[in-house]
Order: sequence, then C-alpha cells, then structure tokens
Amino acid sequence: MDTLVQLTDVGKQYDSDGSPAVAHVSMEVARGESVAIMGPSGSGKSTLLNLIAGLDRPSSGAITVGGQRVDTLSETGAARYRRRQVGMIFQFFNLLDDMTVIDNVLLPAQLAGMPARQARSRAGELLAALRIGQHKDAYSARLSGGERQRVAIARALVNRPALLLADEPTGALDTATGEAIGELLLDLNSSGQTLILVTHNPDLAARYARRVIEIVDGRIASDACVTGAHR
Amino acid sequence: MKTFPVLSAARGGLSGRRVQAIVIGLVVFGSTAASTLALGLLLDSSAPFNHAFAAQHGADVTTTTTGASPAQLAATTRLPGVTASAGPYPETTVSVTTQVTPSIHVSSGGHAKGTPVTLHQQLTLVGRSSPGGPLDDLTLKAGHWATGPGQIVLSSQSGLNLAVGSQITVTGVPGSPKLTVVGVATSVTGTAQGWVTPAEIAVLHAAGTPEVSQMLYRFSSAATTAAVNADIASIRAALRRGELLGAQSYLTAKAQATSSVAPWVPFIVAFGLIGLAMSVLIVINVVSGAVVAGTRRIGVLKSIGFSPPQVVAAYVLQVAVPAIVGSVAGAVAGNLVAVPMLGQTAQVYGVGSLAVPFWVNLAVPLAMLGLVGVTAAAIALRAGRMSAVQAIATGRAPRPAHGYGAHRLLSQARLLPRPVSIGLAGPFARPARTLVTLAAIVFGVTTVIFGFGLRTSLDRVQADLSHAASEQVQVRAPAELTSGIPGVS
Repeated sequence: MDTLVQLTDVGKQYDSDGSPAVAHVSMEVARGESVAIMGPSGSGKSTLLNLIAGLDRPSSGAITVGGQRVDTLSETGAARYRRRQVGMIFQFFNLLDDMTVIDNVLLPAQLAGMPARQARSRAGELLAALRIGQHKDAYSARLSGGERQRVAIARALVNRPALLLADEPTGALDTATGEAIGELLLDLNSSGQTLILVTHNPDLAARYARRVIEIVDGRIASDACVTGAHR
Repeated sequence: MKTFPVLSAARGGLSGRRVQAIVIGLVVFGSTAASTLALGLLLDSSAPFNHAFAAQHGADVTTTTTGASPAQLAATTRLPGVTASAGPYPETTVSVTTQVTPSIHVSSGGHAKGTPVTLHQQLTLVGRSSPGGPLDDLTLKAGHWATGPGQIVLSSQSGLNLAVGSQITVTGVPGSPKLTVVGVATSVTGTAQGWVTPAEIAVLHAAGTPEVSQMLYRFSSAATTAAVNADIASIRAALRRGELLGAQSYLTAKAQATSSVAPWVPFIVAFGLIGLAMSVLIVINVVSGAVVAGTRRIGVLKSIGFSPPQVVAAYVLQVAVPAIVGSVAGAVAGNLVAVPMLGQTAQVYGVGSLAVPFWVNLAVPLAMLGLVGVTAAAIALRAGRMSAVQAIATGRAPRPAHGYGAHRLLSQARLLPRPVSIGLAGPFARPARTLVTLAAIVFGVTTVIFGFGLRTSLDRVQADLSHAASEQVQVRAPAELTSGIPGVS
C-alpha cells in the first residue's frame, strides 16, 4: 500500500482544562483511497481534517502527508504545503466573494507559481467539467449554493493536489444538489484522486467512500471498508 | 514572495469593499488635513517672530542717518560682520490728519456709525520703490504698492486703521498734499508707519528740516543685546559724529511681539496637539477595524495557501491605495485651510505672513501613510499568524473568552432589557478597539469644549491686553541730547 497520509497518536486540545477535541488518533490513508470520517457533531472529525490540511496544529503526535511532516511546519511552510499538496472544500464554501469565479479558481494556481496561460487553461477546463464555465466572470456571491460549491471544488483541484479534503461538502446544500456534488467527488476519486471526506451523515459516507472511520469523542471508534456501496 | 496573487487579493478586497475604502480614504484625508494644519500651527506658534523674521528677511538693525553721503553709507555695508544690507531709503516724518467714522456698540447688540472725527497723527514715512528687497521684505496685506505721486501704503502697525481708498492730508507741507491709501503692508521689525515712492518723500519733506535716510543691516552676530549694541557702535564709528540719528534693534520688536503672543501660545499648542492625537487615534481605529473585519477573509486566504507575509502585504496594499489618495488630497486641503488660518494667526502675532513649512507637507502625508501601514500590518500580521481555522472562526465572532464576564454580569441586571445588556457587553469583546474608540471620543469632546472655550478665553485675554496696552511714542532728538542716556543709541 502506498501511504499518502499517516497520523501517529495525534491529539488536539483547545483548552488546557477541557477534554481533547482529538485524542490518540493513528491512521493511514493510501493514495487513491476515498475515506469518510464520520461522527456526530462535536466529535472532532472536522478538527482532524483541519490538522491533516495544515490549517491547525496538533497538540501531540505526528502527521505526515506525502512523506512530509505537516505538524512541524512553520506558518510559511504550512502555506506552501497547503498550496502544493492539499485541496480543501468547506461546508460553507469559503470563497472570496469580492472576486469573480475565475479569479477564485486562479488564485491558488498563481500562488503555486503556475504559468498564467496554463493556469487559465486549467481553470477553464475545471469550470467546464464542473458545468460552471458560463459563470466564470460572475462574482461568486451571486451564485447558488451548489454552484458555489462547484467553484470551491474547482479551486481545490486547480493545482492537482495529492489530497482532496472535504468538510461536510453537501452540508449546506439541498438534497439534489448534494447528490450531484457527491457524484462529482466520486468521479474524482474514480480517476485516482485521494479523498478524505468528513460528514455526519452515515448514508453519504457509505455512498461516497470505500472506507469509513467513525470518530466518537475525538477517538477512532471504528475503521471499516465499505463493500458494494458505490453507485 | 509572489506578487500577483497578493495584488489580485488586494484588488478583490478593494473592489468588494468600496465603502470601506472610501471611509479609509476620507479618514486619512481628514486626518492629514488636520495634522498638516495642526503641525503648521504648532510650528508657527513655537517661534512666530523668528519664522516671520526669517521669511521677511528682517533687519537686525535699522538706522536713521542724516548728512551722510551715499559713499559713506555704502561703506557701512562693508563693515566686518555685516552679512546683508538694504538702503539708503529716504525717510521723513509728517503730520497727517484724516477723517474716520467710529463704529459704536449699541445696547441692542448691534453697531452704529458715530459722528465723523478728525484724527491727527505723526507718521514716519520711508520711500521705497517696491515692497521687496534683500532685507525687510514687506508683506502686502491689501491693495498694491505705491507707484506714483499721492499714493501711500500704510503699515498695519501704523495706528491708523484705514482701508484702501481712504485719504490722508499731510499738514505742515506747502499745499497740504493729500495721500490716498493704496495698500496695507506689514514689516516684521516695524521699519516705518507708511511707505511712498522715493520721489514722494522729496514732496512731503518739510522745508528746513534735515534730510534723513534709513539703512537696514543684517549682522553675523546679533543674538544678544550686547552683540547688537556692538554692531550699532561699529556703524556709528564708521560715520561722522551726529550723522547717526537713531538705531533700532530687532530685539525690541521681538520683545513686543513675544509679549503679545504669549497668552495665545498655550491654546494653539494644545489645540494642535489634540488635533494630532485625534488624527492618530481615528486612523488607528478605522484601519484596525477594516482589517479586523477582514479576519475571516484572511483565514480563507490562508486556507488556499497564502503565507503570513503575503496576507500582510495584501492587506497593507488594500488600505494603502485609498490612504495614498486620502493623504495627498489631505495635504493639499490642509494647506488650503492653513492659508487663511495661519493668516489669522499671523495677524494675531502681528508678524507678517506665516505658511506651512514645506517639510510638513512631505512629513505629514508620509507619517500618515506610515501609521496606516503599520496599523494594517500589525493587525494583519496578528490575523496572519493565527491558524486558518482560528482566523475564519474569529472573523465570524470575537473570541469566546473576550467579554464573557461582562456578558454574564450584565445578564444578571434585571432592570436592563436583554437587548440593552447584550449591547452594553459588546465593547468588552474587543477591549483594545473599545479603548481606542473611547480615547478618540474623549479627545473629540475635549476639542469641542476647548474650541467653544477658546474663543471666550481669547476674547477676554485680548480685552485685558488692549486695556493694558501702551502706545509707542517716537521722539527724535539730536544725538547731543541723548548721548549718555543708558539704552539710547
């Protein structure tokens, strides 16, 4: 197995006197795998995803992604890691509403130093593939929730990240739009994209991931492969 | 650092927050204008006489001579220590009469015109073909310079408060010639009470009186009374006995100006300092507010790979664009406002014209931009150093620990409606910002009270000063009579 993500005894505690958000989590994710991290609200699943994304730092343990220690990176190093290795999709999209769709998608490519022509071509391809190309010059704030999440997916994929992380990607969408976004993530995984998905919805986890890790009170309660659940 | 994404993020921030950009621009504009004016007032109030003296190339020593030939007078300009000179200008003293209609305060609060009265006064007139010159560069406050016969430019310190167009009759001269006031000018050292053309002096000169010339000198050493007395002694030594009728030191004019300015200086200094402090606080408040409002956006930028320096650069650039426009426009506006205000200040001081120093026009906008940049950088750096998750969360709401005690305490106050208690606890969530806002409000209230009080105070000071003021009397006596009297040269 070609391991892409490795967590070793990872813990995260926000308040010194409170209970840990994540405790003693050890797991591995192979390249090309699709993993759903599932659990009730406040179980620590989003915290775990943020730690893997380098958006937050663990209080203990080690996180390695693509052979690189993420937990010891400086802020600038973490920024470099995020722009090169990780694509992140958030529940509430986290788009820059004061920029157009195409500018939102181009920004990570510009940060990664991709040549302008190549970046435009890649962004155009992604927007077309995600059926949002007609809105490329619109401001993201004017789009519907489903359209905005598609823009967020395009932005996450523009640098061809090794790892795609999605935090409740359908949580703010209606059922039909959520289904469509789910299918999109499934397609991406089918084409080899490693995906870690956070959800509190067991059905969603079963449908769009090959492996489901259940988190309860910040600890791994179960880690199981899902068989025959796809499509 | 890759600049394109930084520019792109800054441009997005600017276009998406136009109102915020306009507010920053307006605040920087107002603060730069106020600071330019305040600093101009502060500087000009710190040493108004010195500034006016330097601006008008004032003379250290003004002499009145009689009987000395032009060659002799020219020789005095080459004496050791003389660094600049002007003259000789012909001078005469005339008796004049003029009719004025006094304005009378009436009990209803208005003004009424009184019965015209005739004023008699002696005026020392000097013949000059232009107001400028290497020394005593006169400031023309109204009208124009005398260009022909029958014209006079009155000194603003002449004691005759006549408007341009008024007429003066010269008595004691054949034909009692009439002079029309064509201008009003100020001399920092009060070299004359009026100026006419050099040819006009000959017309106004009373028969049988000696011809008198005025010379102006600057010396390399004239900082003290002793030094000026030594300078005058060197001039006297270069002339024959009795040729030097009188000599006036600039220190006399300085002492008069300083004594009349003294009561105003603390007010002007305080007003200037309050203006500067308010400008700084308001700029810090607005800029920090703008960046704090963008904390969530900073978190988003970080989540897609912006490093802390890139975040700082994007936000500094975002506030710098409106700040640059505001500071340049503010400097221009500050000067436009300063011209009449410093003019009034100069009038209060009675020391000619005052202007905002050139370096202030450079330093204030640069300092204001520096302040904006440092404030934006400090706040953006703080947000940039947060984890992206924390920045996004903080952008949605203040950190939970902040203001919790105040919320809890106020929620127990049964007399207060809940919306009111929530509103009252709000400022405790962002204590630093609340303190800056509070300080700006305190300064604002102080300024308003100070502004209202200032006028009343200055009116009283002026009234007291005018009651106490003494009029200067110029007595010309032959040197034989005055020699040996201490302080008379």
